Amino acid sequence: MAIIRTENLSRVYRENSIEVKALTDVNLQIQRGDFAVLAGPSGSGKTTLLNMLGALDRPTSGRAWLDGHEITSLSKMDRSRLRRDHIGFIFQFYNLIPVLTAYENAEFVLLLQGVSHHDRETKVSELLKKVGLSGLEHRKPHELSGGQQQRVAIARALASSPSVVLADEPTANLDSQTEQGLLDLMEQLNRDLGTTFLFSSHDPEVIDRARRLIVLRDGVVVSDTRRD
Amino acid sequence: MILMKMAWRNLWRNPRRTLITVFSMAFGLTMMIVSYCLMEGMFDQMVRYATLLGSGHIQVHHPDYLEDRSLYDTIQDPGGVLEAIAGTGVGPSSPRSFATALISSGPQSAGGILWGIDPASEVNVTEMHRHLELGSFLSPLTRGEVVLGRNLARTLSVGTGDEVIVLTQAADGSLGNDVYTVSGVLRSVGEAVDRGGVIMNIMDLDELLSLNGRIHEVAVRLDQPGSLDEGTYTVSRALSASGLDVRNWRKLFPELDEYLRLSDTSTWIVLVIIFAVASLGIMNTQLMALFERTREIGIMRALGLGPYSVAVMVFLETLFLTLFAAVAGGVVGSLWSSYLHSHGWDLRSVGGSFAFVGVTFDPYLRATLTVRAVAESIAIMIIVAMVATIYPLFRSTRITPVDAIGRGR
Repeated sequence: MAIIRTENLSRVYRENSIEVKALTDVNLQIQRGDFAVLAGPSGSGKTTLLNMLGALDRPTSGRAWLDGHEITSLSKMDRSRLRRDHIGFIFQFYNLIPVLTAYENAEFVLLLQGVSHHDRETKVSELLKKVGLSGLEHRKPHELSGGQQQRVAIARALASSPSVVLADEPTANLDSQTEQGLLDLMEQLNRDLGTTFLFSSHDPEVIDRARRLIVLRDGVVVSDTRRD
Repeated sequence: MILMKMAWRNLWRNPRRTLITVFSMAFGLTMMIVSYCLMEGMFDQMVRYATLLGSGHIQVHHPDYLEDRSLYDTIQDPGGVLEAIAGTGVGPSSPRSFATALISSGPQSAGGILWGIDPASEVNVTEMHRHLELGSFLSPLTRGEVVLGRNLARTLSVGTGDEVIVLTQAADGSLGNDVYTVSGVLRSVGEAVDRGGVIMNIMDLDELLSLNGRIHEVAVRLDQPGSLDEGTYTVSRALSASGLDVRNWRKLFPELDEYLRLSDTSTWIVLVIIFAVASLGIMNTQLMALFERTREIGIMRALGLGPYSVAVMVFLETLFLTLFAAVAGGVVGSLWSSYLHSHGWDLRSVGGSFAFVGVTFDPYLRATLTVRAVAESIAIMIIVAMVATIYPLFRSTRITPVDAIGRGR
């Protein structure tokens, strides 16, 4: 069953009265439980597509559905709610909230959802343990290494039990050893929790791990390979 | 709760900037409270000098008396009037009579105004007896003494113990004249009194003018000067059957009243301008903080934080800044005003006493610290700070996740 579906999704940017086609008629289906990678060179439209699917940006034309919701027709507030309840984000630069501790960062979305204190505590403690950060809960982001920060970001992305985790170049700033560890972790979470992962990356290590590889070039899907 | 926690911690990400902002707001508030209290003090002093060094808060006259101050427009039953006023409980009252006269001493002479007062009750109504430059004030037990205005004493070249001759027109058509001993000379209290004031026992004046117990004025000092309208109404009601004219100092000194009203408004305008300038600091701080955190706010928006929640967070930051400044500025401003209330501000080095609408003021400013002054200053600061944060709030709601994180390609 497709958790993500797009129909002729296109995005055109206008820069100094010049139109730039970032995405052109993308038709795609991501199945529940997929561990998929959007690959392609810089400027191929990976992040743009991820932004559309994450309800962060609106397409110029076409439609997209996430877990049964048509993202493209939602209001600003509804898109906020959809992101909060259905999508987990992992960013290239970790993007943790600097004034919050590791624990509070992981707890953030649960607080927005109004989850009870007890349930939050159980969930966040369990997740931080899973990502190997037990004992570092009270550290602020600047007191953690890049790999540890990205582990907090993974815990944050998974805290709300989202339908899908969208990860934009999540290993781009990590050394290869940390990268391997994180990819192992995400694979394991994908297997254990059944969470759908969709990455954008041109990192061979990430592409190697993909069970489905979608290649973009100049905003067009040029190949879509399942490697189960 | 999370928004409050983040707002609080955000303030301390750049402690120096936060402290500078709080300091500038607190300084503005301190200056505002001190200025407000000094203005209040100055206004109080003006009213006090105008009322307690002459007029009293309320005056009662024959309905025609104030038009031309005729010797013949008298209150026929002063005892009844004083009794009626005493019955209202608004405050002490005292009878007075007036006449113009020629005052002379040796070869010197000058025109003057005779003020007949009852020394026993006058001291409860005005404070002229405390405003002496030389000698002593009139005693209820002694007769034949006068207290002179400062300039009149200089014109006549007399001091305490000297004699002056008073010549005036009496009510029965005769010429009234007598010799009086100068018991004291007043400090400057007002143009008219300084130039020609001859204060004497009302019984002496009654004899001199042949008034036969009639008087020209009853002055009332209110126990609650703030309840001027209420006091005036009470006295008017008590004397309604007599047909006498009852006026309070606002009607007696319309120029002063007008000045105070205008000053009140202009004080507010100046204070709001001071704070509007200070508020630019708040806006600048909040905008800088917002621009620095655009990416971070975008991330929070991406995670599902609504645009209005971002605005609430920015609002809470301003609120914390404002509350800090309110406490600091409120305490310092109150302490400073309190000091200026008890010690005063001596302006003699920059100028002598000055006169306004016929009343002379000492160049010695005392602040009047009131809850109202502090509360209104804090309220203005909070309102201005909230207005100053509208634009940053608006900007914060416009930050989109994709703008903050980057569109990518």
